[in-house]
Amino acid sequence: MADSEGHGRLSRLVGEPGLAGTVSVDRLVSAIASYGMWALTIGIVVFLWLPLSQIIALSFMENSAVLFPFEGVTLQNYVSLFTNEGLLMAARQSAFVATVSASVATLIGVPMGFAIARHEFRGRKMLRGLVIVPLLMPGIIMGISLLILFRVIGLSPGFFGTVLAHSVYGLPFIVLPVVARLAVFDRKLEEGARDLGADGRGVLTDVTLPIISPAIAAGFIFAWLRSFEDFIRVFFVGGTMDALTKEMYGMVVYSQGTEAMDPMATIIVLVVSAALAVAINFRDILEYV
Amino acid sequence: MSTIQELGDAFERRGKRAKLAIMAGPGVGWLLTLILVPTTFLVMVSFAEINSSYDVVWSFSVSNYRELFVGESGFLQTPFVDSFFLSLRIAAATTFLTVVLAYPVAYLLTRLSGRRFKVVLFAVLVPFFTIFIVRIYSWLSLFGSQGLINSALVATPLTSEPLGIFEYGLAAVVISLTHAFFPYMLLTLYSSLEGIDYGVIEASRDLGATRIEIARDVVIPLSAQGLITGCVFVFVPALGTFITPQFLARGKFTMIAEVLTARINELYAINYGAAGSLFLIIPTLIAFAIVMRTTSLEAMG
Repeated sequence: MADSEGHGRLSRLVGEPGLAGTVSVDRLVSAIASYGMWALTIGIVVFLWLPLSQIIALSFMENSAVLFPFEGVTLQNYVSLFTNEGLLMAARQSAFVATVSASVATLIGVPMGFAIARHEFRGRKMLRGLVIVPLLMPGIIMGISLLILFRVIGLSPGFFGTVLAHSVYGLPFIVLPVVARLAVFDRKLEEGARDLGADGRGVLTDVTLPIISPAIAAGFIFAWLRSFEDFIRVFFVGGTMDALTKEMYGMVVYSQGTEAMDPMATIIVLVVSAALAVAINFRDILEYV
Repeated sequence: MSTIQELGDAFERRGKRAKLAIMAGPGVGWLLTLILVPTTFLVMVSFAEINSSYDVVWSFSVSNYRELFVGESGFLQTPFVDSFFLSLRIAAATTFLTVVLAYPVAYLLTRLSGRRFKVVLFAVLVPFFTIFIVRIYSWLSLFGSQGLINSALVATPLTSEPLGIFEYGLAAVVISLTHAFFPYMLLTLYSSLEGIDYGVIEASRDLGATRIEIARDVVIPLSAQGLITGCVFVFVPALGTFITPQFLARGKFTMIAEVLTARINELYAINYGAAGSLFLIIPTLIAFAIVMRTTSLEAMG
């Protein structure tokens, strides 16, 4: 009964005319929760965007280190980015490594996903566990352990080693969405195709792969991005090979050529937002993350 | 007849096995040679020594571990131990903050649809796809005594001196890590909250449960799996982060990845690095066990 008294007091506090006595704590909590969630979400969006929008603003500033004192607007930072051959080379190299690594991960990961999703075999459970290890393993462990492996087998650090590291790092991003997609796949579609006279290969290329290809594409993009943004693995196994993240790290830590940093970051943010806006409007991308 | 049948079955089984080997073989090979074998080597090297020409001398000694834990001023008085516990605390604080911030947003996302959903989703996901080093770098000019936050504060009547909390250091590292890992938490929480049948919530409301009771007894237990997975995916990378303290602690303290990297880079002490990184494997293994217990692979896409 103490509870209903509490409701009564609060409803008087809320003071909705005509509803006195029926407005409950519950309604109040609900209203607070609803407005609170919106307020918090807006706050978080500001929190997420504040540093990024500040970078975009800085990239056009005369004095690119700080916003104040304001010294005028310029495109000079972009000029120094596009004349910084080393940085551009590194960006191209990172994109190349990411493309090769994500492709290798896709070629290996898609059939593996099929095997896990559709076949019963000994060790299947263990394999399902093993697949997520590259995702959970801290980058520094992967970096150090691969450095040791390459040293023991006599492979010198560089492009090849980085591709090996990044392709295993990207493997879960391919296998997991494929397994998840196949788990909800309606196999009647395949049976139907077979009944209509398609052979095994036809079913695969004309029915199964088209249906799961968005999952593969999303996985490829994730694997690509993870390779492109990786620093610590390429730091250990990349040797003297150029990499965008290594270049950026050097620019910040040794304060060299920092004026090219903001425009580079701005371009990355803009390209990503454009791509993401398209993706969100085309498909329910959350199915694949 | 039956022998022919058996023979046919045997061929079919063999065919199946061959097919399976072609499908899963390369992936298994990749995982074995690039994950399991190197991790085994890592454990072995942590007991080995490095000679003057930087080759591994296979042996069994615990001197690397002694070096980690016994310093000049005594047991547990080493930079490694300090960094390890500091890293644990930083990772824990980051995980806590991402949970507190991401839970309401994830819940809100499940209640939205259409245009509003897309806009909120876009707004919270863009930073996620921006590469990690850019996310961390973007905080660089906000912090520091000359940073944007302190300059703005000094310009107001609130304070005339730059505030210590907005200098480079602990707060800067935790805030930027929260910023960087927030979307991991959001996405895992969202997918587990989205799986909850809204009918259950309505039913408990019809049966007289208050909002708080619904949150406590229905929503949070039903999303516990996503919560745990999200915590793992924030805690483990936060623990091993290297770039973040390099950019934003500015030498005020060092995290575990920095200690190991410095030793390997300067002294080529991969044996010391191996022993130290094993202490990052322990939390990883715990995380792995938790994920395997709570999550089915089919749900992890």
